[in-house]
Amino acid sequence: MKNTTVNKKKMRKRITAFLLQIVIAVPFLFSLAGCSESTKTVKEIIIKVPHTSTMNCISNEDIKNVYTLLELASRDFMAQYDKEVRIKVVEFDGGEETKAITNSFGQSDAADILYDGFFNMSSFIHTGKVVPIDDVLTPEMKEDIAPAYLEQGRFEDKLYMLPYMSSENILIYNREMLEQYGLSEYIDEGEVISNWSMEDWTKILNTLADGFAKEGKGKVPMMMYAKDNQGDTHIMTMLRAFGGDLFDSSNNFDLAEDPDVISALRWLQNGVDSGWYLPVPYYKTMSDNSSKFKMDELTFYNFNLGSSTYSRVIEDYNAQTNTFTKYGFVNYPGNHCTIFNEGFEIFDNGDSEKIEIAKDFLRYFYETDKWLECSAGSIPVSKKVMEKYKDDILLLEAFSQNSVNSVDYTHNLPNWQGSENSVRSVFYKEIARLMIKDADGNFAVTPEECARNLQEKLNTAISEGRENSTLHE
Amino acid sequence: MKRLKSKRFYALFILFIIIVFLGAIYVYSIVTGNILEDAAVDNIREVAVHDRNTITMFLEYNWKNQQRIGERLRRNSQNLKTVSQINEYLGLEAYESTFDKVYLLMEDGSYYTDITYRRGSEDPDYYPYMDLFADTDSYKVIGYDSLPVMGSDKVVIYGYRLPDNPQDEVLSGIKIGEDQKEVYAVIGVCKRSSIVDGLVIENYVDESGNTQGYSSVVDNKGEYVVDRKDAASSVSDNLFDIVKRCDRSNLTPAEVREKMLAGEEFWFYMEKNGVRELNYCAPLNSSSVDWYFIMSVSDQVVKDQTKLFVLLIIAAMSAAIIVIISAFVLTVIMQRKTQIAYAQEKAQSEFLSNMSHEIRTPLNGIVGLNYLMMNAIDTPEKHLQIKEWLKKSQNTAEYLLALINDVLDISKLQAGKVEITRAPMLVETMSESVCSMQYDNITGRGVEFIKDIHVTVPCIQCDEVHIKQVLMNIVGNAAKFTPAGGTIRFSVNQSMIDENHVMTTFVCADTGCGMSKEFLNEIFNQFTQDRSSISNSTKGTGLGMAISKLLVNAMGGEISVESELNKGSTFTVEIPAEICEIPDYLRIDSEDAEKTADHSGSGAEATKILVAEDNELNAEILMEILNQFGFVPVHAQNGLEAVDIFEKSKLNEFKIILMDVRMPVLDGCEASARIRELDREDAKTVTIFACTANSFQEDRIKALDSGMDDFLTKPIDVNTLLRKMEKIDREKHNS
Repeated sequence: MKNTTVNKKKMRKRITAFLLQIVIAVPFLFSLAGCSESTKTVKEIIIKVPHTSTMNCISNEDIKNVYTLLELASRDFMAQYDKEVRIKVVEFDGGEETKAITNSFGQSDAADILYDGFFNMSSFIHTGKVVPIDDVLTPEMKEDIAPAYLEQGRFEDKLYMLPYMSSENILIYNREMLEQYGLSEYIDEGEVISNWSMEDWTKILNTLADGFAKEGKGKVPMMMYAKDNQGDTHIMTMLRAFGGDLFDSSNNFDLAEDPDVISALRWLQNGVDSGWYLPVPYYKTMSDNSSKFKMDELTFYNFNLGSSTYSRVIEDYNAQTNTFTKYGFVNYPGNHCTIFNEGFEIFDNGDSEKIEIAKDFLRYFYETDKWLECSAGSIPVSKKVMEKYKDDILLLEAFSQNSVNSVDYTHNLPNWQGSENSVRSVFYKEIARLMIKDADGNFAVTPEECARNLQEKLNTAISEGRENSTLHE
Repeated sequence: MKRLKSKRFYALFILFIIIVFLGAIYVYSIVTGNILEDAAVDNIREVAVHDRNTITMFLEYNWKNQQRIGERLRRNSQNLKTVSQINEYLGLEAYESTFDKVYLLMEDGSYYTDITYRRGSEDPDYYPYMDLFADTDSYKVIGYDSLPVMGSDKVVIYGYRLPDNPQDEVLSGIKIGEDQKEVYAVIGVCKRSSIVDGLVIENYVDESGNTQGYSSVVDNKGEYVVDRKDAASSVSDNLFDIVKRCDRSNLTPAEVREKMLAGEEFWFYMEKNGVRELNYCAPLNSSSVDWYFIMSVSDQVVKDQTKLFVLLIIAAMSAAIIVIISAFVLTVIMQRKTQIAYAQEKAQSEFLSNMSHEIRTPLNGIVGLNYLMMNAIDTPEKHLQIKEWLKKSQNTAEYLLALINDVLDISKLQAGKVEITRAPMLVETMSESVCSMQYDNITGRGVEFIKDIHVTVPCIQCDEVHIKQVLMNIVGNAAKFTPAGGTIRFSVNQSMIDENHVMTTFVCADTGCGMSKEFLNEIFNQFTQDRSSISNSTKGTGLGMAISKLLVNAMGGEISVESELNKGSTFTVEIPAEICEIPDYLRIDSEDAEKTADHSGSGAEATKILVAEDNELNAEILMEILNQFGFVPVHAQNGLEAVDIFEKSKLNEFKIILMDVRMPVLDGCEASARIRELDREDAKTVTIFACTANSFQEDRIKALDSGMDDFLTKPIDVNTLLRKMEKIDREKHNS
């Protein structure tokens, strides 16, 4: 009997061993069949940057845009990083933040790091996807970056956006055109940003438009575009041309009852009939206007120290022994300028390891002089970079003094960017409608109607943004 | 050996099944993989055909739009004099059309856009669009990384050359501008992003979101018209050059060109830097162009698609293997169980047969002898003969008793009812005892007995009784099978296992008859006796070695034997045991044993023993034996009578009670309990021995619980009785 028991136990052991062998053998068979794959995965960090992020890097003239800068920096980072990571820098079309960022949430191509203008980036913070990055800031960085720059990236005492460089936007004009049509009196010499009254503006634009019409070469004096949301901030700034803050005390748009805003809209609309703009302005882009300006067929266009026109400005200045003969500079009608930071955000795509790698990349980027110094391609936020290159940045002093004319154009409102019904998605369409004429040659909407529509739709966008706002834990 | 062969057979059989199935899986996966690969390729082709048709429709739609732009231009050309007018006109055309921009290329290479007029290379940002129409093609689609008028956006331009045919009054000879130049071509510009998405084979995107497949369009010279993969290189690259530059391809550039010129739909692959790419080529279904659509898909895509199916197949086949092998194993197990059951049944049958034979034979002998003696009892001259028959009868009865004892031992051992006790044992004393008990038996046969005892650890924890039983059996066998003049050597050695355990090895080597090889294999089986001629004279139950092996194994030891026929046998018993100190009582025991032997007779002389035994014959025998040893036995026929006699006896009249356990009226345990409960001094002190034919543990516990002092196994050995009495006396005295 005992022998039988022993045999049973032995038999059970043998069966167990045999089945175990089968269990072990099956994966082995799979591996023989080439079905087994290495479990080692290299983390891939995706950095997205808009195609339109240009810069004029003084320390490295080969770097003409942020994409190139980040490509070079990421290669260096990967080479020195103690983990094996892959960084992919992806460009997206300017104004396509919704498609490139919001629509890719949860997808394999979701951005881990975004470089963009803060006015585009602030909306993403309210999605709850943007990670607070206070821990990226080292004491040296805190010392080096002026608090005002950092404040733009803070929400509820947490830093969500890390500034890299800053842009102050004004208008550049073709000085020769003004001189040609007897408007030299409005030109200020040297590194000066002019301020003109609205009467002056109207006179200048009308004079130029009339002159150009007579030339018959297709020149126009003033930039205008409404085909997409690119550059909408500049158009929005012009709504302040006759005064008004655009916002009420609750940070909602206050346009419909503001006579100054309606005057500004009317003034802009009149420009269509007055021949100030490119034909069919509602179907023109900022890029069209840029091209037109570069062809010397447009008088006034946007300008900042990072814009592609800056190199021409430098050439002009240097060619004529430290004076300008071709270009001049002026604030937007109403004597306003806008300042916005550009920098980085980190997104939480559900992988804490990737977040840490992204933070390590930013630390590396800011702690490496050669990459930090590239911010001297616009106005650097780094004091030490500014100190090092301040004498090399033409117009920096003028821009610095002009900052008093800047306006807060976003008020850090949610849903400014990133959805189909965001502020930016709504605004340019209403401006386009302001410019469109019907078959009888009448404008489709009056300035008053435009103001009402803008107020309603923009406030709806903000309201939805506030309702849906979620900050990252 | 047979079992080993059987195991090997099963192992080989299972291995064979596994190999056959592995082979089947391999062949099946290859065949299925090929079929699935063909299916995947067909699937890609289907997608490609769809994409090709989409692209064709998309291109033709845009060209149709450009034709309509030309037609409208004809109607409005009279109003298009100034640059501003033309800019506005083109702006509105763009607004109304699918294009982002609409340009008009003039016959002199100048062109109008919706924002400017570029006369020639002297104008900033002039682009020589006329170069696009260097060949005879009327339709063009080309991708650009950037165009001056489109900023840094990537674009695709569509070119439509207006017909140079005076017969075509609508589209030829359209003149605009103040200088009335003729319009050469209509150019439509789109952001590349607006059409690129339509050219992606969305089915073929890997886990990282990277596109594994892309579509392109090349002209009949191999120039890329649209290259989804890389628009930047498409302008200058050439399909035939790419085929030429690749590491490996199944078609040469000339063969690709030949097939394209023939308008064939075909596949070819290219491999570069270890990356293999399948290319599906098909002519566009357009009457306007003789371009080719090419869909390029990474070989990995096909592999990925087939991999899943092959995986599933392998998984299914593997599952089938597991099921089949499991079924086989279960069948083998069942078969083995059946075999075991059959063997057990057979063994039981053989056991009964053996038992029948073994018991009947001596019983028949006893019956026969009794018959002879009864017939001869009245014949005085036969008394010597009767004495001889009585001696034979006694021997036969003893053999019968030994046989039954062995059978019971085997049964208990196999049932696991033999408890191995661990108590301090003096190795040398035990060994000497065995030698002493066997000495006369061996030397009396004319056999030399040599003992060789080397004990390094005097006291160990083990079951002395059972070790002694084993050794007595082995040495007894040696005595039986060693002829006169032979030698038996009994040796004891010890070796340390670790600091707390020792291995004690008992070896009994004889120069006896030895054993055949066949018997050697069966020696530890039941009822096995070597029937060779030398040992035929020796009588045994055939259970001794089986019992010994079971006992030794139960004690955690090993028993082995080496033997050669006619030369002798050597039995080795190895018992591992824990080392212990020699307890005091063992020292006393050894001294008292002698005392017991010296005074047993005188000590028992006046002792009255109450014998409770229901079996008259056993009682009579026992009474007679006790009488012979000087005891005064008093018989009780059952437990109740025993209680009654004891109760009525004088104080301390009975010193010992021999209590049969199983009795009618009142059994031994109950009777003992009642005696112990009696209100008299000697009720607690009288020594009660349980007398039983079996020694199962539960009987012992039950007996001890009822108040009995110890056991005596029937038939009662008086010497054992005396020793136990002395021991109990000593313990009682000590306490």
